[in-house]
Amino acid sequence: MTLLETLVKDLTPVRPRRPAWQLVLVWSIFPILSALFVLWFRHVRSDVSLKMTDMMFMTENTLMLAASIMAAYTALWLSVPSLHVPRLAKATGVAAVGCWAVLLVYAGVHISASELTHHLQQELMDPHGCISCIMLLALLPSAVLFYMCRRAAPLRPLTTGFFILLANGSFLALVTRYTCALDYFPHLFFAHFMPVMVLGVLGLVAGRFLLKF
Amino acid sequence: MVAAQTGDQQAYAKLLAEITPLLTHFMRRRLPENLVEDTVQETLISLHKARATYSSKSPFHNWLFAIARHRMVDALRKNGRASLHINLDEVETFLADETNVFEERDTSRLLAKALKELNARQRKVVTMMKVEGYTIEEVAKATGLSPSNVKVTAHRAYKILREILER
Repeated sequence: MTLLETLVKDLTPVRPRRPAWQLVLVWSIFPILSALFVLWFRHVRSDVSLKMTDMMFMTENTLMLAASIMAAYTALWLSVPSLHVPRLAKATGVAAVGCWAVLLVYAGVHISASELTHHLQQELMDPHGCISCIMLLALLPSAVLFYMCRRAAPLRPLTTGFFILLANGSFLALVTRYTCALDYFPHLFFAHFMPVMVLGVLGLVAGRFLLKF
Repeated sequence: MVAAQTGDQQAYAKLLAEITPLLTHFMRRRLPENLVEDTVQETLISLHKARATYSSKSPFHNWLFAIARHRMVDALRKNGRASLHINLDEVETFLADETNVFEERDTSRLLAKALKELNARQRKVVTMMKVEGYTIEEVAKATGLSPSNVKVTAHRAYKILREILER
């Protein structure tokens, strides 16, 4: 039997994949579940009502939420074969990275060079558990998003993997802002924002191995 | 492809028969000859696995050649060659040149010659509808013509082709 005959014989009906925006809604259940666990385990910060009136706080959170949704959309879009990536998919990817560029610069400029080494060493020990919280609790929703992308046909595995972990890291970073009352910039930079960047890099590696089509 | 997604084996067989020579031609120009056959087969297998991801909202060739490019890059990498860059413009130029499509068919030369007698618009409409399998609405969208205009253009083109082929 020729290959064509084999493929035709093997043909079964398939449900066409849903649009990326619908899959984002499905995926969002899982980071929300992780978020609920974080909020239950670590408790909401005592000054949350006050912080909700703080424009900078809310702007940071908006950027993280936007980055999360846009990164998830981009990952799901990239997992469908296409020679031409539409402007919207390119724009959401760039915007997700852009949000993080803004956050990193915003926190980074407030750290003096003299403080850098001291805070880096301190925060890497993860005394407040923020780094562990973000990185560990991003695993479940990331696994779900990897599965959703793997089921499609991801032809750009590294980029897709990057956006998958960026999406989930962003969401968990947002949630930890509501459980961690430490607002000083070195802590924000090293314990809340940098873990998301590390996740993004890990996503490149994970994508290479887990999203091979 | 949409019919294949519903399990229509006849439509799927027809689709595979149509695209195999197209892929072979395309790859022959860009890969060493010894890699072409295997890469075409890998592409067809990948197409089969990824068939649920095709959406009729996007042109079929956009989807198909993305898979083909991926397999071609894989083949070149395995053979220690530099990676390949193929974009949508290049694919559309390839498809618009009807000689690439017809070369391996029995009536290829005669039909290709007959198509040259048509004007550019007629040739594009016929190639898109009869060779690439686009619907009237898809052709209308791609060419900027109204659907009724596409039908009239196709009708006139077929009439001319029939006269030429009957000579």
